[in-house]
This record gives sequence, C-alpha cells and structure tokens, in this order.
Amino acid sequence: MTDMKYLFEPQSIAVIGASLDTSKIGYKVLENIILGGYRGKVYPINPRSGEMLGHPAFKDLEDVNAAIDLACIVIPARFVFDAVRKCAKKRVKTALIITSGFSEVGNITEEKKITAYAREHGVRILGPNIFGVYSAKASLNATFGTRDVIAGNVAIITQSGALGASMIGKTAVENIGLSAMVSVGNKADIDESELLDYLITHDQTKIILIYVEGVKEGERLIKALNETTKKKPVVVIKSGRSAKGAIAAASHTGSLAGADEVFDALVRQYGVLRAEDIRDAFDWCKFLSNNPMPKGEHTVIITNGGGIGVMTADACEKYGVKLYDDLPALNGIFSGVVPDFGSTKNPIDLTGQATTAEFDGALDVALHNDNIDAVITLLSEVAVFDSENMPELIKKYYPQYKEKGKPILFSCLGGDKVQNCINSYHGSGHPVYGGAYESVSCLGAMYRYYNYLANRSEEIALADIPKKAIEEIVRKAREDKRHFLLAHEAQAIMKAAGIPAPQSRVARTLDEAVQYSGEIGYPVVMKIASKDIIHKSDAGGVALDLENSNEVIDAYQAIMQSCRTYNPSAKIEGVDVLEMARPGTELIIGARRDKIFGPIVMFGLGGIYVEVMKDISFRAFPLNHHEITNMIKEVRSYPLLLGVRGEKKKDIDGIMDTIIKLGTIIKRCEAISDIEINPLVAYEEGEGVKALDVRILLLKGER
Amino acid sequence: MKKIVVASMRKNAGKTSVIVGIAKALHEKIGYMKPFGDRLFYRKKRLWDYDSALITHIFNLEENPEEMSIGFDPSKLRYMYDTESIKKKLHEVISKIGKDKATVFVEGGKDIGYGISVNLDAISLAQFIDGKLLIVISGDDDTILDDINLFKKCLHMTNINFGGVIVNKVRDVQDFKDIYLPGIMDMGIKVIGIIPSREELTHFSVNYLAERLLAKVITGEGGLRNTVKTILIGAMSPSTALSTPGFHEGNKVVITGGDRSDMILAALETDTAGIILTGNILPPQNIISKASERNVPLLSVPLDTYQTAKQIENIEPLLTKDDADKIVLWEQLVQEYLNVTEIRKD
Repeated sequence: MTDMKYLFEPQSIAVIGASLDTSKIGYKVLENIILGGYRGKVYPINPRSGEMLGHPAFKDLEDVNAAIDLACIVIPARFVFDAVRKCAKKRVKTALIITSGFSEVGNITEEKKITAYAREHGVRILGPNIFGVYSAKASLNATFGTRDVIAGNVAIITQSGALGASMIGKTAVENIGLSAMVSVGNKADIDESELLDYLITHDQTKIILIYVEGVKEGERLIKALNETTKKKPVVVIKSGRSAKGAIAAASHTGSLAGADEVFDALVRQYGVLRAEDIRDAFDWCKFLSNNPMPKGEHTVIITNGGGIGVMTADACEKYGVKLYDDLPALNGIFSGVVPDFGSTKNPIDLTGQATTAEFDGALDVALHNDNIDAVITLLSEVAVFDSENMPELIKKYYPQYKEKGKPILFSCLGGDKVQNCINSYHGSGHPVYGGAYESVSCLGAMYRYYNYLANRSEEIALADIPKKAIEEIVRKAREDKRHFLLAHEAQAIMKAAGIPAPQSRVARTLDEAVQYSGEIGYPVVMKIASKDIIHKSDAGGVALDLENSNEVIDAYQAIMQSCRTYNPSAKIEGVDVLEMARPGTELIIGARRDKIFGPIVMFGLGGIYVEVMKDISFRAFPLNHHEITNMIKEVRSYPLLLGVRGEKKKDIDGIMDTIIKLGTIIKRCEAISDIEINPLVAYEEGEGVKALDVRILLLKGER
Repeated sequence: MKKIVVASMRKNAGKTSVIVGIAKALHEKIGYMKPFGDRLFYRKKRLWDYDSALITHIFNLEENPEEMSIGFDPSKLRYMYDTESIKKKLHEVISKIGKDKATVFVEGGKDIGYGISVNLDAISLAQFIDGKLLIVISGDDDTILDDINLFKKCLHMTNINFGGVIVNKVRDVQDFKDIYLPGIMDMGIKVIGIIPSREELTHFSVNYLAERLLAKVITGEGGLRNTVKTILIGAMSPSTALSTPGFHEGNKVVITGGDRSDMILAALETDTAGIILTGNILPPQNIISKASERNVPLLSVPLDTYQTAKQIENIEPLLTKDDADKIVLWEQLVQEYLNVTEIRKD
C-alpha cells in the first residue's frame, strides 16, 4: 500500500479528540465517519472513554489493540505534538491534523517540530489546519463539512479549509459527484503534488479540481501537473492574482515575473484549465466529467435566433472554439433541414419559425455527419417555438451525442417554460445552460484541453552549451566577490553559448578606446566597465553611435567624468567598446531560477519600455519547440515578428535558438540566477539575432 | 581685448558667480572660456561645460559652449596635445571667442593646481595668454589666510600679471577688514574685493536637485521650481516627524525610502518642497496621486538614503539660467564690494 492509499482507503481510523458534544468538531468528524457509511474500524479516542455513537471509545491511542491506518487529530494545538508522538509509537500511517493554530498564525516552530518528528518516525501528515478528507471509494467522510456528499468522478484538492467545506455543500447542490476531496491546509508534509501523483491512477477520478492560495514547491507541482494532465483534465482556481508588490528587482525578468503571472503561464503550458472563480470551475468540471472529448474542432451552432447566434459566435471567438467554416459542406449537410429563408452558414439559422421539430431534424443530421465534432444548440423562446417540448429534445439527443463521442450543449433563452426546463436539468449533468457565454466557456475549456493533448510533445529542447567554460567565468566573478557578471564576462558567455553578440573589447585607456574602435569599425558603442556601476545609463556610462575618433574621445571623457561623479569610489576597469549593431526588432529574452517554480524562461517585446508594456510570456522546463513557438506567438507584438507595413518576417528560428540556449544555461549552470538579454535585436529571416545588452546575476551563496 | 583669468585656491569658491557679477557690472561685451572643463554635460554626442552653457545663456553669447572647453579629462589632453600644441589651441580658441569683445574671462579648473599635468592649470593659462589673474578665495578665516599665504609663495615662483584677490562668502565684511585685511596688505597682496555671504545664494530649486541626483521625476512636475532651504531625512516614525518643529518648516525636502508610505504621507501633510524616494522603490499609486494633487515633486533615485544624503551634501548651489534674482544680486554685490575700476584697468 502506498502512503496515499492509507489516506484514501484506510482500513481503520482513530479520531483523537472525538467528542459527544455536538458543537465540537471532534463530534462532527466522528459522526460523518460513522454515519457517512465508512466500512472500516473506527476508534474514538477521548480521556473519558465510554461509548460514542455506538463505538467503544478509548482513553488513549495506546489502549487500542489493533493497527490504525489513519488518525484524525481534532484537539487543541498545544496537545497535537504529543498526539503525533503517540501515533508514531502506534505506527499510524497517516495523521490528519484538522486542528489549526500553527504556521497560518505564525506558530511555525511547533509545526516544524511536529513535521520533523512525524517524518523521522514514518508518519505522514495531512494539514494542519484542514477540514478533512472525503474518499468515495472507502465511503469515508472524515470532515466536519456536510454529510450529503454525492459519490462521482471529480476529485477536489483545496488549500482552504473553509472554502473546501462550502465546496462540498455546493457540489451536492450542483449534483457534482465527488471521487475524493482533500484539504491540504498548511501543507506541512503532504501537498498537492503528492495527491496528484496518487489521483493520476485513481480509477474513480475523471477530473481534478484544485483550489490553491500559495505554492510552496512549484517545481514539484508543475511536474505533477504535467504528468496528471496527460491522463485527465485538471482545473485550477488560484486566488491572489493581484498580490504583486512593487519590488525593485535587479532584472526586468525578476520584476516582471510576478508569482501569479508565472503561475498562470506555467499551468497553461501544462494543459491545466485555470478558472476565474468557483462557478466557472464547477461548470467546467461538470461538463468535462459528463461529456465525451471531441474528435476534432469543427463546431456548429444551430439556432432559431440570428442575434443569439451572432452572440454565441462572439463567445466562440473569445473562448477559442473554432466554428466549422466549410460553407459548401455545411450547405450540403443542412440544406434539407433549413428553410429557404434561413442560413446554412455557421451559425445554422433555422429562423424564428422553427419548432423543436426543425431542431430535431438539424440535430439529427449533425449527429450523423462525421465532419461535425461538436454542436451548440441555441433555443430561443420565440412566438411559434414549442418550449414545452424542449426537455424531450434534450433528453433525446444528449445521450445519442454522448454515445457518438460528440459534445452537445443547449443554451436556452426565454420565459418561465424555458427556465423550468433549465431548472429541471440543473444538477443532472446534462449540458443545459441559460446563457451562451456560460455554455461556450465550458466547450472552450474542453477544447483547450483537447488542443493541449493533441499538441503535447515529449521532446525536450536543450542546447549544447560549454558548461565548464561558463562556470569558469562565474568562478572568477565569485572570486571577485561579485553576484553579477561584468558586461564583457556576460558577452563571453554569449560567445561560448553561440548566441550572436556584437564584437567588443575592454579599453583601459583613451588610446586603447580609439584603437579598438578603429579595429572594430565605426560606428561603435562605449559603456563603462565597472563592477560598482550596474545601472550604466543612470551613471552616464553609455555612449551610442560614435562615428569617428573625435566622437570616441568626447564620449570617453564624458563616460569617465560622469561615472566618477556618480560613484567616486567605483573601481573602473575601463570602457567596453562594442560594435554598434544595426537596428532591428528589439526583444527581451530572460531566464531565471524562480524561487518557487525553478528555472523559467521569458520572452517579450524588449527595449526600455518593457516594464510598462508587459508584453511578455513565460514557460518552465521541460521546454520543447512547440511550447517555445507558443510562447512567441502568445505576445501581443507577435505580428511585428511576422512583418508589418511591408517589413519582412523576422528570424524566428534565431529567437527560438536563443530562448533554448538561455534556458539551457539557467537549467544547467546552477550558480546563475538570472540571465537577461535586453534588447535582443531580431533581423530579417535568415539574418539572425544579436544580443546587445546582457545582464547575468549569480545566486547568492557558494555553489 | 582684456583677458582675465579667474582662478581659485580651492573648489567651490564661487568663480563662475563672481565672473557673472563682474561681467554684469562691467556693462561691456564679454567672451568666456573654460579651457579645462570640470562640470561636464554630454548630450547627443555633444560635450560642454555647465558654466560655459550658463554664461552663454546669461550673456546671450553667440559662440557654442562646446567650443569654450579644450578638454574635460586629462586622458584626452595627453592623447591629443603637448605643451606647444595646447598653447596654440588655447590661442586659437581665445582669438575666436574674443573677437569683437572688450573682455574675455578665462575660468580656471576647480582649484589652482587642477590641470597642471596637462598645462591647463590657472597659472599656466595666465602665462600662456598673458592674462590678468584674479584669485577667488573663500572659506573660514584661517583657510583664507592659509590660501593667501600659499598663493603669495606661488606668486614668487611665477611670472604673471596678478590682478588681485577677491575674498568671497565672508560672514562679516567689516570684521574681516578690521582684523585680517591689514596683515594681507602688509604681505603685498592686493585685495580687490571682500564679498559677504548671502543665505539666499545657497538655496536651489527642486529641479536643480533632481538634475544633480539624476533622479526620475515621478510626479509633481509643477512644483519643480520650489525653493529648497532644508533637507530632512525621514527615517523616524511619522508621529515623531510630525512632532518635530523642523518638519513643519516650509521649503524642505524629505529623503525617505520609496516604501515608507507613512513618511511620504506625513511629508505631504506638511509644507514640503519635494520628496526624494530612495532605493528605486515606488510608493503605491494612491500616494503618487496625492503628491500629484498637491504638486509636490516625487524624485526617485537608485541610491539608498545614506548615499543620497551624502550626494546632496556634496551638491554645490550653482547658479542656473533661471536664477534671475541671484544674478541681479551678484551684480549688486560686485558693484558694492568689489573694485570694478581695478578690473577695468588694462
């Protein structure tokens, strides 16, 4: 038995802190376990012993003369450590610490002490600060939430106990059947990643819904999500979208990579469906768990109202649902069932004169046509429409479509009869909705997952980089007690990795600056070379487009004087003399070791306004060419790369190559925390790219 | 064409301001150059000295400020000139700048020895162009006496046309005349002016501060001309700050961290000329909006509070082209406390 199996399918449970006081959580948990239909052994633990809800209670865990798989701890925080110690002695496999009052209120030491002890003695901990666990397979409801849980195929993992308890109630109202529900609370030991690893192969679970507030070990979570979404859809609700402080970071990548932006990009990368709120999440779960995955992307809208048809087409555009647009084929399919004054273009308009009989005809041909993969049915209550027959129509076609492997959705708009029809299907699992956007949002979520599965690739894009040479440059910087590389060192890394960069040399005197400028060829750029001056432009340490020796001489004086004034104690090594690159499209490519999610890469429109425009995208590892293409296409400025106003297409292969190389460096060279090229100038297709300014930061502390 | 070389024994003695005052008082066409620039401006591949640009603006000079300096860094001067060629270059520039001018002022580097290794120190300049050397001296009384003594020794070693000493920023002119002047005269040093210090000449604008600190103006552009009289560091709690009398004085600039919203708000509640936000950290938008409403400039700088305060400590209250009142005051001071007739002498 794996650790998680003891959590979801325990043979025996002890409730430490079981109570007969109905106002206590210790009573509610015991009551839910016993009356919820749990078939294993139950041992209430209470100092007063006696009998509790028909089960003999024990004064102490040690008094139980049998093996215990799961212990629910519902006693005050100050007694929890002692209880865990007893669990260890009793060889309890998993302890559910429902009790709160630990790290969530600053009591971190106690939580760490409990976790360390449990880990040392082989007891797994769920929580603390949770509302419990529900497992349909074991008919186990070890929570203090409602007992009216419907068994089904949706598993919910929630970080919030209170929200979890209310979600259990909501699932009952919505008639969403649960296979499991786990509250992870403070995640002292068991977290979402481990639960996902278990749920991947959990036969009863078809779809997983996760509510996350904060991510602790993002890299592990991403890996688990990646594995899970290969097999089943995952819907995530994460709060804290706006929790981004104005933190000054040493790199743009750092300041742009707010926790939520990165989380959002990464979950999308791995096919996770992120919902804005619980309503969307529940709608998607219900739809995905009750409907077949489509075989293709040809969606057809069948309507009896032109306006609602157009509105639904707009919703399809918004949610990425592709409408079948082969007009001759559509005409061939529907001309027999659409009146002459209707339309066989998609939306298929049966006109306001259509009754359920006309819908019946249209749904029947759509059902049997293999070129149609999904159908959105819009039923508007116009004068001649026989609303009373709507339920029959839905009842007839939903199972047939399901059997055929085609999703079908019904959006119904009208008065009492229509509303009654919607209400009658509420909670039934039938895809019947009141609004067009509501229904298309569900189909959109399904297609996002469909496309993810269709395009996912096991390829891992890594470049061949000279790790030793890069580490040698890093080592020298560390010897100099620096946490960043000087420009010429960063350029050397670009050269070693094969990322094109302008020619450059460090001039220590004016004579050398003039000499090197001549050798490199005018025009040139000069930048101060000093470990003590990071913000070169702010210090007046940059001069561009120097076209002759006189301009080099003036610029050299200006740079030296300005930088000495800016930081009189700065150790100035000289000036970097660089080839002035010809103009192109300025991009930013960054790679950083995110504290939560590990190595990530960033791509976007570069230049000085990067933080204002925020036209960027992120990806995590493993990277592949498909995902890199997606991340490039994702930015709003993507058309610039395709060429606008008569410009030619830019060298997208060169950009991809640079992203892969930067990603490989950050992945393989652990001493580097951030690399940023801004700008990376992209030239026309076939002419490559050039890294004009490179900033490399090192991890603090020895590596 | 008269050629007057204005030098000082130490930096920040007030050479440029004295030149402005004298030039105004002379009421004649003047020219100006600063062969070895030390207050450099570099924009769009053009390089000029702050003082040259200032005087060009005040006196509507036709010449380009870039032509008024030969170099700014010894590296260039060593690379391009030897003693002879620098003399030649100096004459070339002065003949161009001095064309149709009654007087050309040649300002020396920051102190008397500045530029000596590249032959552009004040004494070399006076010798090369055969100009009259005026020495501006300022500081406390002992420093002034030390400097005059040192200069007298230099004078013995050189063959120059010495025009006299101007003692600047003197706290009590009459006291100075009574106590020190007789001794200086006995040394054979000609004193042609003793100019009193004036507090208003030490003030500057928030804009000037922003430019000197290379600060980004986040908001409150309308208040950039506010006069700065005092600088406070907002490290304490807002309640302590608000109970400190100095915090309620007007024309103050408060230096505080960009994340100290409490202190920024406290400063905005009182009469504040500007706020310097250190550490490149921006406050929340509502605070920025409040500063904007009150027209109080918020200046963001990358340095920490200590380094910023240190930089401000080193800022000299230079004249700017917008300081019309100060320029008028300098003319008055020169006319009242300086022997302009002596300067007029060829």
